Amino acid sequence: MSGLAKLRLIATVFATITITMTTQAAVSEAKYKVKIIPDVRVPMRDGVELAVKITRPDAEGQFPAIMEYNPYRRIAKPLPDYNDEYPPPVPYLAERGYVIVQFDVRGTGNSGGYSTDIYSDEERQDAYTIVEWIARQPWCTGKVGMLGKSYSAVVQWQVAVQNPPALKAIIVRSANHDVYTDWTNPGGAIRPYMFESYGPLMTAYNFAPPDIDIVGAKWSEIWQERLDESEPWSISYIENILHGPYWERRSLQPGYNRVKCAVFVVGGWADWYATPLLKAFSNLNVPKKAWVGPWGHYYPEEKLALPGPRVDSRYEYLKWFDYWLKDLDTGVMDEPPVTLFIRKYKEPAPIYLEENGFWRNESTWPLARANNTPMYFQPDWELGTEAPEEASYTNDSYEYHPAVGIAAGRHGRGNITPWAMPLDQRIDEAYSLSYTTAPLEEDTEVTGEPEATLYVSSSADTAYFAVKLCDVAPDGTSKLVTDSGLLATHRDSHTNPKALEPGQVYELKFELKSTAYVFEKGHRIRVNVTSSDFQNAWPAGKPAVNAVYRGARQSSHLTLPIVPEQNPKLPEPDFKPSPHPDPKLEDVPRAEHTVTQDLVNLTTTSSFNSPSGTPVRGVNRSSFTVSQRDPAEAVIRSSYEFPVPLLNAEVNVSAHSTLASDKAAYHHMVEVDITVNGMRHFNKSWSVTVPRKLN
Amino acid sequence: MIVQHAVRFILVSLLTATALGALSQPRYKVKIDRTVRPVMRDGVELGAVVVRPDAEGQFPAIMNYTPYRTLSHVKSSYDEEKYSNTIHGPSYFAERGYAVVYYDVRGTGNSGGSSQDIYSEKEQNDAYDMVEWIAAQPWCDGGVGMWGYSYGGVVQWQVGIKTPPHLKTLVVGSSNDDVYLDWVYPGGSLRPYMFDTYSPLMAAFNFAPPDIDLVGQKWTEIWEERLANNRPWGIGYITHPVHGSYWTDRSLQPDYSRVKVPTLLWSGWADVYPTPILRAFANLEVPKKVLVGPWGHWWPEMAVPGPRIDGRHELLKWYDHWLKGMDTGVMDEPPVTLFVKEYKEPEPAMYIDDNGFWRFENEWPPARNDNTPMYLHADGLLSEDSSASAPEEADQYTYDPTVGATSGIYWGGGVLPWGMAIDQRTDEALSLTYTTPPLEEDVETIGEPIAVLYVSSSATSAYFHVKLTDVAPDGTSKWIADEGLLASHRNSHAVPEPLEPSEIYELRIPLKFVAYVFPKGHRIRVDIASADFQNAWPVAEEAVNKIHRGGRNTSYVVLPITPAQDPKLPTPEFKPSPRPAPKLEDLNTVKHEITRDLVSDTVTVHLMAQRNGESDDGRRQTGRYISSIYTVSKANPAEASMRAGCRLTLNGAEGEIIVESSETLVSDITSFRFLTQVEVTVQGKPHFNKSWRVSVPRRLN
Repeated sequence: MSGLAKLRLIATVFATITITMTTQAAVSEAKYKVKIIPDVRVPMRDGVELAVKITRPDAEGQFPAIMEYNPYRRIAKPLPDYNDEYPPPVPYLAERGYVIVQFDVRGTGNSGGYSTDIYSDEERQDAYTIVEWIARQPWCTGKVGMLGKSYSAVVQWQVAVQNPPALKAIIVRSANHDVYTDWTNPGGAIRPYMFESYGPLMTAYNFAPPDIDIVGAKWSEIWQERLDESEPWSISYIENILHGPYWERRSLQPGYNRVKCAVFVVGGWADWYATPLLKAFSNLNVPKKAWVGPWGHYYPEEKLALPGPRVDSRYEYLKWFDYWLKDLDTGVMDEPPVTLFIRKYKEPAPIYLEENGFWRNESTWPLARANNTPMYFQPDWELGTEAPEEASYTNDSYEYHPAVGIAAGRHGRGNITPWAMPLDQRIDEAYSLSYTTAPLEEDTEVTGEPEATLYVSSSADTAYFAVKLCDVAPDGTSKLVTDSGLLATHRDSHTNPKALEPGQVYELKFELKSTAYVFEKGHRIRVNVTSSDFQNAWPAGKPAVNAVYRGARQSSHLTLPIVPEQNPKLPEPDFKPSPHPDPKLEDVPRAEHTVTQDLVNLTTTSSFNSPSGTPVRGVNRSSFTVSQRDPAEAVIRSSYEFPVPLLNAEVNVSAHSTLASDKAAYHHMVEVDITVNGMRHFNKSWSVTVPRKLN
Repeated sequence: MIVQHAVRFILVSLLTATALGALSQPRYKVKIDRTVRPVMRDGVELGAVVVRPDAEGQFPAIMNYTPYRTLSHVKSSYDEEKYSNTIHGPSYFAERGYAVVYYDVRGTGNSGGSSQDIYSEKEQNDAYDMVEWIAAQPWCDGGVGMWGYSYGGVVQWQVGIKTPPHLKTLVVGSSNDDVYLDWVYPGGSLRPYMFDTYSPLMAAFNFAPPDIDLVGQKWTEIWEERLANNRPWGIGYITHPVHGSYWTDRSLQPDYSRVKVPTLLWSGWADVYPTPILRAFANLEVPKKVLVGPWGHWWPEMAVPGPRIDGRHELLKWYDHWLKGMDTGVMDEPPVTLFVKEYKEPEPAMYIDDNGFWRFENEWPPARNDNTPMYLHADGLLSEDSSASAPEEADQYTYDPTVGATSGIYWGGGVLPWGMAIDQRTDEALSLTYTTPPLEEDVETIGEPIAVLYVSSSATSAYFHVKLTDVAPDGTSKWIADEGLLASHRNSHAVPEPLEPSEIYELRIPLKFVAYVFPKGHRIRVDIASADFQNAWPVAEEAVNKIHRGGRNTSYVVLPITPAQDPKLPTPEFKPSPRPAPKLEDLNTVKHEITRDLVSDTVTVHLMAQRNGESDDGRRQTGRYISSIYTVSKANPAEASMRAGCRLTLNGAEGEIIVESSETLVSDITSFRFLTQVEVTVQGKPHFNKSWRVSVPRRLN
């Protein structure tokens, strides 16, 4: 080879190497100091001022912006180390050339105005206004994204469907897509958490004063307007226990086509919303990505993001926003669009530091190669692929016990996260119908959204059915994998419930929560059917004997998406590790969570105290009592105690809430009591009664 | 008016006498002497009350004693109107010509002296001395019988085997015959009741003062001696975890021949001791009779579950025969009278009335029984078919110390009439279960079930607990009988031996006796687990245990199946109880809660019982409040804890005196540690405070 040719060759090789290296490292560098401006005030169309906090590069120039908002009083004086600001991606992205704009929902935190309802019309308009405001700012390139978890994720749908032109891309960490069916009233039954926890917590927050360090002299006026005009959000929950316009306008479903921006959904199997996130992913018609890990309600890199394994999601956030807001070719859209943690058996325990399982990439959700396999309820409590040949109307029956669900855990872990994982299901199986396969001859992966079709009847006009899919280990331990529930009176509609005819057989269809789980060889697959899951669903009011049919024409069955090996294999997912070391059990704040059976009065009570030391101060206590003798009688007594420093005074905001049911109605009472240095400053209570109907 | 009354009285008496054989009639007014103070051989004075006919002459006597401070509530005077309508046993017998003597154990109630242990040797000697003292009294004809139940039953064996010359008969209600095995350490495992209720209760009782109305000026001296020298009885229980002389010195077993006098035995299926009562009946070598009703821990007149009868009448027939030589016909009746139970849905409280019927039998157990082994088979099947030709297999489970939430507390313990066994299914979910197919006809079982299990364990110590249940068509599983055994006690309760991990052992576990009809269409079930925590302190070692079946390891449970009685004996008849049916609410204010802590993975039992009483003349009120918190840990079975206390509030002529006991019993992998403390305040001022601490090594338990 000639000397020149050699040189050219060397140059080409060099160039290739350089290009390759540049392609892999094409994310923004952490090159900025970070400046925080915590006390910006932005007026809304009707004059109400919202409290806005800006976390930005401390430099000249224009940057893309990312918006986040919620009512959780997060806007406060900057912390000594900006790296401790929350959520973790915020300081990380600011270092790398983004302006993050966070604000408090009107009537909450440090914002003006007042709030009578969650996700109000005004609140949703405010968000649109803020997006436009951001885009106009001199430091903004005109491209805006959103991030946030939980409330801050749900609202991303609410903003996206309004299509503010500047909004280009969102990262939705743990959001529902139908506020009623995913959150407040799953299957049509009231979720006790709304009244045990979220109700009193938001009541206390929303009547608490703003932070003087942020709002200065306006604090008194801001607080007074709030005290005069706000209302506990839970009043509206109990006034809207059927689906309808109130919930529809807060929800993404069914209008997915309204979303035009790029969407990245991030879920956790131990978290609330893996299922609606995956549903949204499959239904949206935009550039999209889905990632579901093992975690509960945390950012995956948080120190206490349990269960692990923990990974650094901030890097994934960066790759996404660099691509969609800075036009950098980070390769994020070349990766397979779906990344899942596939779970494997681990003995049930109240808390998991780590799940068992492995990561895998997929090219679609649901998985194209899944075989939707019917598993029929068979005689002798068996479950199998053969359809039964029994006579029509063959059935198994059981008495409705309202206190089943001791081992169910709390969906999403509730307010006592990371505790309240599901336990050995057998004590609940004592009052369930259970159908179990023979030991599996090989590992069987179930990844997707299992379904159940049940043929049922009841002796009452109202009944609830809970379906649980479990993994039974050789030692007999029964581990909850996924589940679903439905008020049978809501079988056709959550808006217009219809009574059951006693004794008549109905077909009920259940969508079990999405899952990605390997049933190991030698284990057995089990399905449990019963009529309560009391820690997660208000008990149905009528005593009943219910039946599940498994005869020739009413063959109750599960449909399991059984997944063969991936072929060809996609590259394994590769993450940056969490910046924090693995936590020890002693590091985890302890909650209190008990279930007490009163053997004199035959009631069962689930009680908890939230752990102290969580990011926002305050203690949530609750007890929820259901009656084995009279299923109609149930009561939640809950409170949130919220101490708030104000100048040199100690303000204590106390919210007490009761939700009680009897045969005829639900009775909800809320009381707010505020003391300043021990002296009563404010006291107000609300009371509402809602007739009970077919629930 | 009086003449009419008398005539009617005589007519009724004559009619009664004719219908039932001769029987003493109520013809005496009653004299109550409340300040009797017999002196024992060592000089200690006991407090006693004599309730006898208010007439000249000598009468047979019946004696009773307990440490339960009953003398303080003795009726201050005899009121014919009131008495004839009450169950007050002593006056019933006094009206009919008996001198009834009851006294307090030394160191308790109104007696002098001190007590460091239950059923102490001095206490037993006192009973001998009391029998002889009574016999020597001018109003006694030299014949002394005994009566009493529970403590008052157990002590009758202790007195009986000392053969005081003037002791003529025993009427033993609800008593054990082996204090270790039947009461304190069933199967070798500590019964939690001993420390959730009995120990703190007696610690408070035994440091409480006497009744000034009954002891007068000796009040201070009696109480001071008691405070200085008494010791809480719980120390004796916890420091003797294996069988041996401490317990045999208090027990009738193993040598029943030491009882030399005719004995009437009675108990109830919902009470503590139907099994040992029937066992004693079967083994005694004296004239004997046994009556087992449905009742819980009360006299039959006022018991739940009913049906209630007038038990005094049954006792009268016996005493008239053996103390007065009257031909009451009592020994012509078949010797065994049983209430045979039938299915009723389980409830947490004793039923007001159980389902079932009365039956005479000629022997216990019925000679015609067909003792049928029911073999454990694969797939949870229980069957008469032998498993010898089935393959040798084992069913395996992990030891879970929290099994037993549905078992209730045997006989209700401190929270009776609550604390009954409820639907067994949530425990069965964590147990091995073996169930027959639906029965093709009623199956009557009257007798002594026994489990023979072939077991192995991964540990050196394990507990095996067997329940027999009746499964209704709707799936409800009703507790019928049970028993457990510490495998380390398989050869001897005196010398525990470790298990070799994985070696197979044969365990023979006699279950509690039964008299029950399994209905057609129901199924018979056997549950096996390694805990029954409300009734047995959990074993320390974690384990994976196996029940072997098939081949040479044919685990089975023998069911005493009772064919129809042929010829049929007459149906037992009783006088009805003079009292109206009790209401549960009137019997006791209690709490019985089981809390699962879903964070620390423990289970806790909260108990509370409160009872207030007043003497009939209003001069003395007693309040009694007992509560306990007992926690067992799934993660660490060795670590269990019991915290309990009793507050006794006495209001009387002495002012207000509060005696409060606080006790803790904590176990870990190496030991049991027991702390007991007693505090007394008088009129609000501290008067006494003492505590004791012991530590006992754990021994394969």
